[in-house]
Amino acid sequence: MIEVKNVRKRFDDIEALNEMSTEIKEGAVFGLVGSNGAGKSTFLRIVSGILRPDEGEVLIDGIPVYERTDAKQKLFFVPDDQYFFPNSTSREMMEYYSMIYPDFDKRKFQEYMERFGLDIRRKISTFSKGMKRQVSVLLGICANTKYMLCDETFDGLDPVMRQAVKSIFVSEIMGREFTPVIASHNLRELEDICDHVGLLHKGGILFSKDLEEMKHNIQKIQCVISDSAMEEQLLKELDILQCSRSGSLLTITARGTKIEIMERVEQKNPLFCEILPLTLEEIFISETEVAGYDIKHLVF
Amino acid sequence: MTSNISFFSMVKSDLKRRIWVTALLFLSLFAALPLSGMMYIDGQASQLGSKYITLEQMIENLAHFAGPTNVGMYIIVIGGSVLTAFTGYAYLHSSRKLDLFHSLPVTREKLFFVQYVSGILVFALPYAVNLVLFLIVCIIKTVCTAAVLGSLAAGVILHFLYFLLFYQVAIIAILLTGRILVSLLGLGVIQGYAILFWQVTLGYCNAFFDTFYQSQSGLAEKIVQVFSPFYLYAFHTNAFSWKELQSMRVFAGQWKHLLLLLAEIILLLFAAVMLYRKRASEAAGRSMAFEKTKPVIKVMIMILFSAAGGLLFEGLAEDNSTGWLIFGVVFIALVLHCLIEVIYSYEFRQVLAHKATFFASLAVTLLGALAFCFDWFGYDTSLPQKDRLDSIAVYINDLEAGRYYDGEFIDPSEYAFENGRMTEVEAGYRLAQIGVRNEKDGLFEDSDWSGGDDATTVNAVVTYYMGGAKKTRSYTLTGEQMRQCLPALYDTDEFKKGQNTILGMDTDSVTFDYVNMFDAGHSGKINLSPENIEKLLAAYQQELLEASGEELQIDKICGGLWFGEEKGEENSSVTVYESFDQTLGLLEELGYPMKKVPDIKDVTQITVHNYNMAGYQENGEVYEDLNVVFEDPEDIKEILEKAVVSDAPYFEVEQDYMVTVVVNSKEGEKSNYMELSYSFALGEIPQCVLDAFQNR
Repeated sequence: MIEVKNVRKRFDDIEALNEMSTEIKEGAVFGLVGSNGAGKSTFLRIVSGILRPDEGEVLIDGIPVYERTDAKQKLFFVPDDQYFFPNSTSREMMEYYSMIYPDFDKRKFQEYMERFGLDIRRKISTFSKGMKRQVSVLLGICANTKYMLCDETFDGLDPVMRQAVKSIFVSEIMGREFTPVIASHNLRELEDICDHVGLLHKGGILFSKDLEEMKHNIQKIQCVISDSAMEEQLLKELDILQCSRSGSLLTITARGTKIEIMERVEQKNPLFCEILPLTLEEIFISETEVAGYDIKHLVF
Repeated sequence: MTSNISFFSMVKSDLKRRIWVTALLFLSLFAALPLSGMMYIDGQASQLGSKYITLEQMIENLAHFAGPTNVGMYIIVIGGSVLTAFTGYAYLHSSRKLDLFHSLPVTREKLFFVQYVSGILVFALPYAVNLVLFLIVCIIKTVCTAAVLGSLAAGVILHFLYFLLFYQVAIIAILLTGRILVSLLGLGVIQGYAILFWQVTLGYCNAFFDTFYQSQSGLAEKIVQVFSPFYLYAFHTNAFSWKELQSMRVFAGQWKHLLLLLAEIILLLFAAVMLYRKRASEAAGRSMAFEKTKPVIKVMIMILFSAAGGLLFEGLAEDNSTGWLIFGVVFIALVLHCLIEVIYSYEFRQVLAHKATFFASLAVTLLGALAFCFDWFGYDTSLPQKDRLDSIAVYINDLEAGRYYDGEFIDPSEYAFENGRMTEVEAGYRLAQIGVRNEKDGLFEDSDWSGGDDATTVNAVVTYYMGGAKKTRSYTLTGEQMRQCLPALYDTDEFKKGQNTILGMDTDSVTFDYVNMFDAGHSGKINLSPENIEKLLAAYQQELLEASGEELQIDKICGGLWFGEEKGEENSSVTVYESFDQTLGLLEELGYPMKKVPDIKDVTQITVHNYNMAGYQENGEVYEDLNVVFEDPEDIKEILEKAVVSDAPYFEVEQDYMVTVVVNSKEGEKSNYMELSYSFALGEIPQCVLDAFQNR
């Protein structure tokens, strides 16, 4: 588990992280969302031991990470702009990382490179931005560390590659102890991969919740209720987060479990009633509105 | 917690990435050592057998080429150290690179030492290969002698140690900064600061202190000797120049400097590791890596450079006015303040930020400059209390202090301070009092000062020893004042020993091989056995030591002797006086009578020149020459009886007259005649000369 305890970090007069605390549990994909400048990269650099926090500490499986090789051996950091040695090929980078990370799986790296259609002997400097991103992610995955910290990893990947990387993440999680932490300013990129999402704003975690838990407590329903009095009563009974009407069709986002909400709607004899899937964005809008923020100002 | 990652694997990996630096250094070293060496040996060998060069000289030349003073090696050592440091540690200036290196499960110390060792190997490996190639060249050309090997070994040790010193200074410059350009500027400042400090201090002292004496052991000299890598490198290697045949001996004699160098290397390494550990990764891209160093470095730069600016403007201005000094300080301080703030922030709008450091630096510099300018601390005029003095040493220019070599030149003044410390301070203190009084009175500041009848001035350097401290001042006295002081000084044995290096020559430790004699009849080597040289030296030393000040003041110079060693390690020239009966007697006994003046029969004519009547100009040019030539034997006899050698400053001579005696050459000598110069003792102008000039 990664524990971040009251971490504070300033850069001159800018407070990058302010008393930040959170926990990242093992075996789940942790998504870190935040607008540009929210402190995502700083957070990841502190967790990976690059930066020393001004205050507080970061523990990797109970070991402080800064200048502790036993803690850092469990981590691989993929920055948003990975550095490769000048004129190096993917093979040379593989050799370098395999020297540093004893569990580095060269065979797997070569297989993945082949699967992604990347020539291991080609100079990385001749790769496109997306291809470089793929190489850096594959290096990180094949290092076989327990935690992998990715900063805007999916930025620059085309949808096919994005999906391919996601499937590799899933297979790694299934196959070994693996906990990716993915920071992104784009909610939609994290939607179908994260189990847990933290929202970073102005150097602090606004909230951090399990996605399933959030989905369990918020529902989106569409219904048509012919009796306007019944309809009005339903709206009063539900803990409504959002409500819109199109003709007689009501679309409601409300807090509560699926059973509780369906029970109340059924009591009002609806002509039509259906539970709709919620996007991560909608869940966030709902959650942040409750917290008194407008998500559109925070992320998009 | 230590990492299991192999240190040497990481070094090897880094070496591979820096192969281009290794290749570049290899080429440079190849050009400087085996290639140039081969060309040099071939060039020398082609002259062998001619009268210009012998095999021994060729070996000596090659030892010089291979030794510590090889200019090519200076450039490679300094350039290579900077290149290896920057290619090894420049990643600290890039946050992208730091994301890679500092996220690795490797401690910062280990990362530092991986780069450190790798950098050393980048230089050492091509150096080692080229040394082997150079040796092969020497072996093939059959010039691989012990002398060449010794010189090469001394060069290797010194160049390698100085590579480490320059390398670490460059690393520290990189660690203190966050941008390459600022690192380079910083490196320039670190490397040059001590030298500039030395020069500025000297400049202020020379410009504003009349009694300033530049000593090898002054504070500014000590600072530059310890803190300037360039100075140390030049100083250290120059000690070997043309002494390469005895490289190991010179090396052993340099042990103090070697220890200092090693201590500096270790201290700098320790400092670099500490800085590396403390340096935050986010410093990449900033001008300065440590916020706390910003004002300190700014103030240090501003004070020194603006002080230099003040001196520059004061010197450039024709009237050398204080106004220009102040202007220079303020102007350069302002320019520097703006420049440094822009460099610190990389933001032009910050050009006037942090005014407090500007005003603080300006105030310190102005106060310092004005303190020099107006001598607020009484540098020129303060005299230590007599009862506080442990001893006092006086060095007087132009007295007969022979030069003394012991492998290297020893400054006669330094010799006097070292060997002429008088515990009876009265005589030296009296001289100092006169010097201070002259300063207070501003005796020589008046441009109209002519000195009256006695226009000569004599410079005396006095060193006061008080407890562990010492201070040195250079006073100017008139000839008359000096003549008053000299007898008492010369009656002190320590003063004589300080002034005359010959008195410090111990016949047990020094064996002179030959003696040269200079008088009216000789100018060259005299044939003496070692025993007779020893006797002559002992006789001279005894007579000089026993001679009183008063005697010497009225005594006339008879001639000079030069005691020397064939190999040129040590020598000393001395003056022989007419009262030195034992010395003169021994010389006569050995067949070399010393003559003050030539035999009358050998003199063809005497020319007497009178400066006073010739309208001698102040700028030293004689516009209207007035000579009188004497050819009558009676006149020649009269003039020769009164002629004196005028080398001693305390011997009063008629300043207006110069006597040139033309002597017939002896058979076998190249020139047809020889000229000897004399003066007349005060009040002893021959009647024939007076008459001759009166008739003009």
